[in-house]
Amino acid sequence: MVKKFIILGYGNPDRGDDGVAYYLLQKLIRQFGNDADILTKFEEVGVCEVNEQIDIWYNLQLIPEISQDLAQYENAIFIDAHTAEIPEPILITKITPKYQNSPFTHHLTPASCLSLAEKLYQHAPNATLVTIRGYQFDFSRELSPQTNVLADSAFEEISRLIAE
Amino acid sequence: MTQKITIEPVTRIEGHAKITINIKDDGSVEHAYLHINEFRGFEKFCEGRMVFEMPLITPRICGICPVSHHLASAKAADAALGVEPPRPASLLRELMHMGQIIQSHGMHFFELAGPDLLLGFDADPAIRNVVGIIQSNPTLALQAVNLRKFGQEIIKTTGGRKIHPNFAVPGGVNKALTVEERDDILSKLDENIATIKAGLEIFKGWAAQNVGQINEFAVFSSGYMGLVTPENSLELYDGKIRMVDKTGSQLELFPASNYLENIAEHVEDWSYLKFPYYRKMGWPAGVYRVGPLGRLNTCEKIDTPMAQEEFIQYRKMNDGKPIENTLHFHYARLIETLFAAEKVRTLLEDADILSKDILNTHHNYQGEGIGVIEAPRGTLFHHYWVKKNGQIEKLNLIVATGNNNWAMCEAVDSVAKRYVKGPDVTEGMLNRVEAAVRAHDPCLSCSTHAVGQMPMVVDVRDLQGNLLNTIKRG
Repeated sequence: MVKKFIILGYGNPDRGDDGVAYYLLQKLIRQFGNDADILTKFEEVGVCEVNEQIDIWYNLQLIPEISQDLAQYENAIFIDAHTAEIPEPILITKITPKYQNSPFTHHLTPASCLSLAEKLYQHAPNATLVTIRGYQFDFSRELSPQTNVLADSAFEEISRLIAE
Repeated sequence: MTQKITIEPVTRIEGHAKITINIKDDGSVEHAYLHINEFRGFEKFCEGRMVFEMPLITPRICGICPVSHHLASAKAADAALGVEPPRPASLLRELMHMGQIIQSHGMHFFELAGPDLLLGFDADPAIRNVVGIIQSNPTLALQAVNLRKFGQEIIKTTGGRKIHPNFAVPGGVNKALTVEERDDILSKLDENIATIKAGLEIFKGWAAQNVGQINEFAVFSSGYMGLVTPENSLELYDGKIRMVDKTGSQLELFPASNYLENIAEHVEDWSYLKFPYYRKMGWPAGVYRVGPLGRLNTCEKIDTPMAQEEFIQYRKMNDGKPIENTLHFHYARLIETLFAAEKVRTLLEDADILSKDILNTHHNYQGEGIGVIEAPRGTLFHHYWVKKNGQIEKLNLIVATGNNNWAMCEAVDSVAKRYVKGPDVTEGMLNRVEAAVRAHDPCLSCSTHAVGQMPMVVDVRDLQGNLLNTIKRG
């Protein structure tokens, strides 16, 4: 049976605002979760059930194996930080399967993951990318004040997407 | 009027690189530069931290190769505290390391480099990616994803955690291996070795059809460096550091503790990443390459049977002399992946791998420690100066990609001069320049992952800096 939602957060919580997705996943667990224990284990278990409708997944970066999990869902929401090259503080955009090569290094985009799911496992979920502007990417486990505020707004948007 | 072409990945604050190509009036390339704009504040950040924290902190340098830093850090801490891990702990650390090699090398060949080679540099970007390969061989594509997953599972099984490993500690490790865990890994080994061998056949088949390209694409001489066993066999976890010259003759064989006597770093004002070189030969005569090509030129044999068989074929290409062709990084990388998989079996069949004797707590403070390991990309050094109370006084890191900085720059320059003919710079030309860097499997991301498409931007400028043209990929 295809489950309704998977929410994928990625980024490094030790690099300031790069970890905004990590913090948003924690908020989602607190808001929607059936089991408080998830807060202590979600970053280690791969796909983790929040409730009957929603699973979450966290990693430092997107990896090819996630395509196998993606194929099991109707809908996916990807959460990440973005830099100043994107003007909107919070960007919410539909994404479709499209494989993109990284110029140099081991790096996958959400669209690439969807493409792998579609090609390898014959199904890609309806997908949305939510990115939040980051201001500080130093070695820190805290969000900048600006990103902290934006994260709260992004959380409301994600909650609305889940409820639709 | 000379033109300047800039290729720059965007949407990254740090850890990205830029390529600048200076074009002369006749359209030929004057010079090409690879600029590394990597943030290197990590050493400062760690000063004052406790040495036992370093194997936990340093994996956070990079989301791509955290295990390499984790293990090199533990080895540096071992040395600084004067503590020798029990043999079972070293076996377990090496097992984790082999998982890292398998997942990293496997992903690089099948998902990153494979499309360049198998679909051609001039192929439509829409298909010149792993999806193009999937469409032609979906079974192999699934196997490739599973190969990476297999390597990751070895890391998770040994370390008990998927990311941010908390496994290697000064004096050993903190988790033993169970019989069930050992048997689970062993049960999946043969199918993954088959995938690696399939990759090797794919590469060799491609190479046989593209001899001309391989012999023209970024072929140049250098020294080479890598870890070796006492018998000069390939070694990825421990051993001494061997340097050879362009003919394969030994220049040096030294322990990690002597690296500063043998390696110096040159600085250029157009790159934040320094250029390591062999000190006794000076700059630039002492330049060297590391990573798969460097390692297979440095060693004289491989101690596992299947990889040794491949190695013999590999070295025959240049009559036993070092292989200088940049595209053979991919071939060497696959041979190393095969070695790592065979090594997994050797380690798991060692009776000590299940031992509970995994931690030595008797310290003999030394004050300074150096840990070296062969990361997937090359030789990685962690050097710590530690106070008596255990605080880090200062540290020095030479990351694997840094050791290959000169090589990447040389490859970019060589390929640009051969294939780029301005002012109309085609996608195919730029693909080749990109492929020259990609062959080295560099790690430039420094663990930030802000969105996210990594498009390439080419700015064509005149000498006054006026933008003449912009080409964007992605």
